[in-house]
Amino acid sequence: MKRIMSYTRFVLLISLIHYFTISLFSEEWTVPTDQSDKTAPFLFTAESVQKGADLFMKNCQSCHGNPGKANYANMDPSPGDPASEKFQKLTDGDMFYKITNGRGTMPQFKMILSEEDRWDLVSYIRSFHTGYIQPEPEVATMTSSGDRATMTLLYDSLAKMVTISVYTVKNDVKSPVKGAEVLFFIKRYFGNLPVGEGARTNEEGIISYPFPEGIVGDSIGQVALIAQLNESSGYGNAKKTIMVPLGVPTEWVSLTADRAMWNINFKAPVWLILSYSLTVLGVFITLIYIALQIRKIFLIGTDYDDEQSEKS
Amino acid sequence: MQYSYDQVASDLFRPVRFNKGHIIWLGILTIALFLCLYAYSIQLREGLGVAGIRDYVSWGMYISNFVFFVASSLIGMLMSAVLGLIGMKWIRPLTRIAEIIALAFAAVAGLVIISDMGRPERLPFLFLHGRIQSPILWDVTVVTTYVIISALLLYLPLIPDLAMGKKILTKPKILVKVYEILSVKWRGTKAQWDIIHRSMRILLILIIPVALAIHTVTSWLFASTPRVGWNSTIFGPYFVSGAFVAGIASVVIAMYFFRKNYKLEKYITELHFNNMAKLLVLVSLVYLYFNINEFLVPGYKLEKGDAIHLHDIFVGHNAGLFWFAQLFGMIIPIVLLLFRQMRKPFPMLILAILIFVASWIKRYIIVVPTQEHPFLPIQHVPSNFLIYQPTLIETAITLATFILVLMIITVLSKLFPVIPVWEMQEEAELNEKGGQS
Repeated sequence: MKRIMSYTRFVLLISLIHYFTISLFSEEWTVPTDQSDKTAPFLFTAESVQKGADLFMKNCQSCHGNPGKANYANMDPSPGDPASEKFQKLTDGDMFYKITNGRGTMPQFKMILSEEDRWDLVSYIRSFHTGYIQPEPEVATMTSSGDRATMTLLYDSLAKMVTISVYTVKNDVKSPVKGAEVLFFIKRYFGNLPVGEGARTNEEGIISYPFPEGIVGDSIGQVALIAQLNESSGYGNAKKTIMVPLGVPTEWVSLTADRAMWNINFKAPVWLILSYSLTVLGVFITLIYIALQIRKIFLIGTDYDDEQSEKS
Repeated sequence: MQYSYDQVASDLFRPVRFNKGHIIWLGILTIALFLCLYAYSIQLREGLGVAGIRDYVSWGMYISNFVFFVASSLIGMLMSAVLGLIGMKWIRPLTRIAEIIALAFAAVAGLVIISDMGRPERLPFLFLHGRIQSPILWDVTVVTTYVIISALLLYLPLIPDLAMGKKILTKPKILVKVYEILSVKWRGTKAQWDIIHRSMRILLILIIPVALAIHTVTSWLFASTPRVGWNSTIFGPYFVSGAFVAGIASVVIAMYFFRKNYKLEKYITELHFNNMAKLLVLVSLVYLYFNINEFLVPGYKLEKGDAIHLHDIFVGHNAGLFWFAQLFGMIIPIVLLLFRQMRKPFPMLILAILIFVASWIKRYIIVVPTQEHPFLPIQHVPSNFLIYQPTLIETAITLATFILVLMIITVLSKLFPVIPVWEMQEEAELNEKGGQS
């Protein structure tokens, strides 16, 4: 009896867990109000739509398909068609929030795409909504160009440190920007690898990062380093990329560089070309020899006939 | 039932003529062939979609049939080369039958491949753009070579017979003319005999590695992929040993019909059936051994993919075909042929027909079920993609290849004596001498 009880409890527990997992994902994806009301920092243009289209193809198409064609991947939960009404009735802020943070199988693009890129995507998705009127851009965060910060990136190859200083230039006077959040990435083959998150500049407008160990670089250890000012700091979105020789030097040999079974015909292994051609050649020389032998039978027969006719 | 030297030539050349019966038989075959070619014309026009092959099972009846044809053609090598070279005298009246079967199956095997092509006009691309690393290119090479060698092995020992035949046969004139040309002025001089003997020897040795290669490479078309059921290191010998079983069955069927229709009881005797039966048991036991390896070893480990595959062929929807092939193609013949009564011509014919059918089904079981169990789950496809179901058109096209084989065998066995005449004469001479002493 006790056993049955514990079994029932177990089943109950499992079904509860099941219920919660289901409900977690099928639950409405709500966006915090302040995020929902957020608007793009610029007016959508043909250019931003084009940029968004390129980004969409690289990052979104594999699941969402081509907007308007409803050819999205068959997944659960369904990714849906971004041109559909379900998507278009979201606010710009909702879309931006969902792209930024992701949920479940929808990836987070916070670290992969810049804020501007993400807004470009929103502008692309909106291009499928004919009646769309863009809300007035809220440019409060985009301060006047004079206040936009600039960055310099320096590295110390001995100490393996990277130093970023953020400053504004006004009337030829440099003033450090204090407390600005700088995001810091290493460019990898697919996307950018974030290194440390949310560090802020000190009094002198400087952040120092130790460069992580074991980062694979090119043949001389060069690695592309990206520093980006977080726009919400209010000093624009300055971005700087430099090559630093701090990675582990790595020789990249293409998989198709050498002769191999999986390579193209002209890069077949030598042993294979040799054994194939020599075997085929050997067999065919033998066959030609046999053909010549048959000819010889004929020649002998002709001679024999001549001899016979001479005798008679 | 002995035969004398003088009888041999007249006995063996007697069937070389087209009588009414054979013309009717060929007519039936031709009509059937045209019906099947009509099916092929539909496939040419509509594409491979008219066959049951789909995205998952893309190698269906056609490729199974190809493997079977290549397998059946291997018998020429076993009979003439292996048994001939080790000095088995009793096979001499059977070598030409084996060669005709080998040539017919090998020649049509190439056509079977074309039947599996949606764009057959692109066949030359296989040679022009083939990758030397691909077993498909090796297969094409080796099948072509094997056809040539088989044709030569049929032709060379025929030369003395042709020279003899042009004197014995009086009509039709055209056939006599063909004999005259093909006999390349054979006068039976010692120098000519030396050439024949030497060339035969070379070809008999050459055909052994080529024949092993043809079927081993065919097995590599499968075994060089990591798919369940094909991912096996013993596929080469497994195919070769199975090929001998199928080939012997074909030869026994042909032996029976030639013996009956051509009245060759004196030359193809019960002893030949008895010996063929023993040979069949031997190769079947070797094949059984490879079968045990092929199924017991993965069945013992039962990795996930193998488990699904084995379950399907042992007890699943392919089980009926699998057990038919295993029982009638191997186990039952091995057991029955232990009894002398079963090694007589008629019981042998029945067993050979069963083995022949079972061998074809076995190729189907090797080719098709594996593709129904891909590693990645099959999703979002129409239901007819899941289980392979051959269509009528496909069946008709496959039938056409068999009709072609039958036509080649019929024509060759009518144009030329199916038993080497000079070899039988040699034998008769030896017997007579033995009798005198």
